[in-house]
Amino acid sequence: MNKISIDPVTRLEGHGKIEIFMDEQNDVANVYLQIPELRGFEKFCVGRPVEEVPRIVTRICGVCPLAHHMASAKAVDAVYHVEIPSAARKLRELMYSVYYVYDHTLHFYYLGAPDFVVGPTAPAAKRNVLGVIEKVGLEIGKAVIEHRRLAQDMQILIAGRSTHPVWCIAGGVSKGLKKEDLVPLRENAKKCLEFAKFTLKVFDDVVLKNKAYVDLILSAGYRLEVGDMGLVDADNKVNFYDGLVRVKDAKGREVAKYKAADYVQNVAEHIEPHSYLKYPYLKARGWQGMVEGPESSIYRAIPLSRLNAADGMATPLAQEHYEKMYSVLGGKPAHQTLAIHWARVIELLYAAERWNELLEDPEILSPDVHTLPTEKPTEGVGIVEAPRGTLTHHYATDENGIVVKANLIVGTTNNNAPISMSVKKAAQQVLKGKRDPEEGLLNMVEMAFRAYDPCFSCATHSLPGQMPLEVTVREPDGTVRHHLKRG
Amino acid sequence: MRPARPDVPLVLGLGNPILTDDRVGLLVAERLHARLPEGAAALQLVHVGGLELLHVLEGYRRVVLIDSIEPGKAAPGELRRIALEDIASTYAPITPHNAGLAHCLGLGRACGLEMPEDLRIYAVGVCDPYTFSETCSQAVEAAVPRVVETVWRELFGPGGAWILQA
Repeated sequence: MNKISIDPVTRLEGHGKIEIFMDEQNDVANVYLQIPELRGFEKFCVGRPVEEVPRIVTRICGVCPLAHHMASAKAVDAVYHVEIPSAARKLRELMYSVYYVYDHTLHFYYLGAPDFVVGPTAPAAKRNVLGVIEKVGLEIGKAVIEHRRLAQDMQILIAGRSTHPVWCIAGGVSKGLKKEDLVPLRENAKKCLEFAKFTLKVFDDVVLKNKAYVDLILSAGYRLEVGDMGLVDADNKVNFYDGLVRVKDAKGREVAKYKAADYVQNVAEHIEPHSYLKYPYLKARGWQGMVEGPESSIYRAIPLSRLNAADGMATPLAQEHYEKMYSVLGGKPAHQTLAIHWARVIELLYAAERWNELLEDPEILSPDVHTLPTEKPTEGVGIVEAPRGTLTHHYATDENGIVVKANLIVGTTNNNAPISMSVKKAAQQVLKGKRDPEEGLLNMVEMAFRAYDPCFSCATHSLPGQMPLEVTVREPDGTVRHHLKRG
Repeated sequence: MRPARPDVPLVLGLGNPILTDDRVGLLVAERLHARLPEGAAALQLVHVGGLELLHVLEGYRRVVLIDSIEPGKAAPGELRRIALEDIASTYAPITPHNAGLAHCLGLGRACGLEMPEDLRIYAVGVCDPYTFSETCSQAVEAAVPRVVETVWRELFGPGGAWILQA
């Protein structure tokens, strides 16, 4: 059997790689995803006061620190059995909406767009944000940087810090908003809303008006029929910060809807012998392997799943685009892996609308932002939607609030099985019969991976701090037939 | 736009303070900065990478960046001087972590941001950057004073590359 490895050679070397096994006919037989995992977080938490944990978890990940901060804070609220004030809940959601604008902008323009704007098989040297700028103009590059800066500044205004906030505390938040804060918050909320609308227009112009791209999105190799998970509000609309976790199967039937504390009854984790990765699945259905279909126990937790799991978006413009997306994709649920990018920019629009909406809520200036916890601490679970998937934090403490147990299911972990399955399907479509696949084709395999916006080995960035790919095609006896290295 | 920053060098430590040896860049930067006269240099200890560095670097003319280098590429505690072209890449990044420094500088310059003219990159070999812990491994910890001394001598010591404003 031949083997192709898509193998990062940075610090993730030897850990993170995609291995594609070819058969004698040069068709893809199997694909395994091997990614690094950081060790010992549970042990690290044990023995610490639980109220410290929301401040520590922001160090887990240099990309989603606020998501960890929020999930952790919700878990600590639950540990102390404290209901946070309504204003604090709204402030947290406001902060999180601003963060989503910041984060989703990054992924779309820097990571997703190059494949579409510059082209999936374009030379690697051009397939990056600089290539995007070259193609669509410097003004877009400047606008991306400027709006991310605005969103970052507004996070600092709300919470004092953006990257590693210490703002969420057990029972609420450490500070509220002042009346004068509303001026820049409103001004920048409007700017970011316009930018989100503009981004959807870019998606429309660049992707949807290009028949080849639409055909690629709709092609069988980029389709995966598994279940969908996402938080929903009381009206079953998408919510990033709070609500119930709703899971639908590949036919769109609701198969679970539960509060955070019940995640252990609903989700279990399977371990495969070839990897130390855990593969979460729906417990009620049992582990059936990495199989698709309406009875599959595999689910995705990504922007597209959030939209699939919900009945709609809670803001008007996002709802319009939600409806348009499903009409183009042929109805709901949508299983097109590359449409995750589309769902992501609809979420960007939702976040910007929600940011604007929350500023008009009379409670947003309330000084009542903290409830002092008085109950004896025990155990609690907090769940938010991280940009990269449903994020679960679970802590148990002794009666003094010292952590005795911690468990995390991070966004990308939910998607371990679907990523492997998606990469396999894309490889089967793109590499079929190719003895010596050229670099552009391998990028098309990688696109299935990239759509998930996977987040591995968080906050690690040792030099060289980049992830070029090394591709090895092996003969059936294991000798190297073909070697590609780019970057 | 960001307000102008003072014309002092930036000592920039990169790393994760709770991932064993990954914190070495932070330790070196902090101790290096402490050796300099007050106000002669700025210090930033940053736990993020890739494109998040754009606004950290913006506005500084001279930057010394200290990071770790991946296990197996250098002996634990070994100090490497890295040329930007050695880590330049034009690949399509897979995750936001992996957008390289060269890419970040290129983007900033293309968009008219003030990016450093003189960037010195140092990297320290590590044993374990994967396990959550607030202490470095022994070999790396032991190397920190020597690493600080070397970087200080090369940049800020008598005859060093950079002259500090009094």
